[in-house]
Amino acid sequence: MPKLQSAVQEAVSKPAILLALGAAAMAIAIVFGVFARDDKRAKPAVPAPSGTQPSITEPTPSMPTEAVRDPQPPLPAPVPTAAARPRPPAEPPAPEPLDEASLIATLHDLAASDPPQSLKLAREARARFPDSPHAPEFEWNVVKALANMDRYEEAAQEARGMLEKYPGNPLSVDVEHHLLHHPPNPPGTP
Amino acid sequence: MMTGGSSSSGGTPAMSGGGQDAGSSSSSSSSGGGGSEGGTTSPCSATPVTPNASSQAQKLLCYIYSLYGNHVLSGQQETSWADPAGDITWYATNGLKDPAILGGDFLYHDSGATCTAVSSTTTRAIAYWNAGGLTMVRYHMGMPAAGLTCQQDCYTGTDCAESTPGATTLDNAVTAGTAENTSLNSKLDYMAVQIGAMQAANVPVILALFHEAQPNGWFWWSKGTGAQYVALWKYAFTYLTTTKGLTNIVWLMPYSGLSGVTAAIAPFFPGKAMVDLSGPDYQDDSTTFNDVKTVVGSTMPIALHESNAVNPSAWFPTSPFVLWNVWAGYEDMAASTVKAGMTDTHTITRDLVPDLK
Repeated sequence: MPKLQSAVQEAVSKPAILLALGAAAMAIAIVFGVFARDDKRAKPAVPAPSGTQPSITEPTPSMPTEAVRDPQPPLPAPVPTAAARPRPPAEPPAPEPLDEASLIATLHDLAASDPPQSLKLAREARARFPDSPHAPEFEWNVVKALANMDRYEEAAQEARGMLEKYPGNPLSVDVEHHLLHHPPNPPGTP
Repeated sequence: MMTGGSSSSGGTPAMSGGGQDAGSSSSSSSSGGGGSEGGTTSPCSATPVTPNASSQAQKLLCYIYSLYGNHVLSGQQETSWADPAGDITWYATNGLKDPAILGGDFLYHDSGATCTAVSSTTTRAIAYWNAGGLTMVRYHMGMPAAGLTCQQDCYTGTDCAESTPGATTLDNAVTAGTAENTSLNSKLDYMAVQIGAMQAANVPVILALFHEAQPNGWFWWSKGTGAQYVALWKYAFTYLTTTKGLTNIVWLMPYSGLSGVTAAIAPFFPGKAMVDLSGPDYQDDSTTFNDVKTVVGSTMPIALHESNAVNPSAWFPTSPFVLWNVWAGYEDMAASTVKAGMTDTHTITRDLVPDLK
């Protein structure tokens, strides 16, 4: 008997223990995996209205049973992805480009107060609206902004181009008069 | 009644004749401090804004008012920097009469001259008056800056007429005790020497100071706000009339004629108390004319204070500019229009200007 007992014990115990340990480990892994999935699903997109009680009919998983009945492999450890990484503060969206009327209004408002900004906007307007009736005005603003920055050589170059593009236009006459056909400095000017 | 030269086919107006709304102008123009106090009685209802205006200034303004709406004074800017006589002699060379007005520029000094010397621009202006003409002067004044006087005046470069003022330049220029104000005063002193020499010779002058006013203008005085421009104008007006005691100035407030921005020029108008005449340059269409008229009112004569081509036959009656001033060199470049303009029935040439002395 002792031999038998011990033989039986030995026959039963080693594989049984190993089997039981393996099943237990699998069950634990499955249980945690299900919880993890249920946690994700359970997050409401919109907070529940305050005062709402959880429904008593809401299914509550029977973990061990379900785990045994519907075994699933454990979910892999989460791999960090770009979406999951902590994000830096969101950058503001790029501003919509100004429409033509707004560009004109902004250039008028800027006047001579911020020549670099005027130059940027006028060049943008010239590029985007080359066939507009206001195109000569955009050209004029390019020339004028350069002159306002004392970049007279560039301004004169732009003025020549403007004269070719819009001969006889009053704005062309204006830049011609002030940059290409203007009084010289008095003799001896430093 | 003034006795002028021989009548053109269009008829030379007598000075006491009514120009466009001439008779209704006194209430506005006289509010500027002008009037007979200390001066002579104005020969018409238009009174110069210059306090105690000289009799010649009064006669000149009355004459201009008499022309407004029916005639136009011809004018020619001299090439002060190279061959000043050449612009006027061009007319005789081309078989034309001399223009009524000689335009000058105080930017140019005589070589080596100080700011207290009477310039040849001034002596030519006096000579033209003595020959029966009129004079109109502008000044491409260099930007006021520490230590600068009229002798550093320039058109382009550092602290020149076309320079862009710093954030405080325009305000400082009219603020006592600043370096910019000292500089501005020195330039106004130089102007006072020139205009004073004319006054001593009983010569009235149409002064087109701080010309081509517009938002984002080409010259430093017009690159700030309208309010800053007006402050500058007021300062110069007071300095030259009250501080320096000049009485021979007829004040022409010279707008730019640039299309597209004329609707924005109203903030630059100093007001009728400090302006006798106004007007645009270059753009001689009725739209531009009326843009200025909308700002300055229907009584103030409107001038084309700088021009290239001229076309008086098209100006009347819709845009009856009271004077034109062909810019130096354009008399040749736009010769056909100038020749036609000089013989137009509306045009007053020098020989038709009445005796305003």
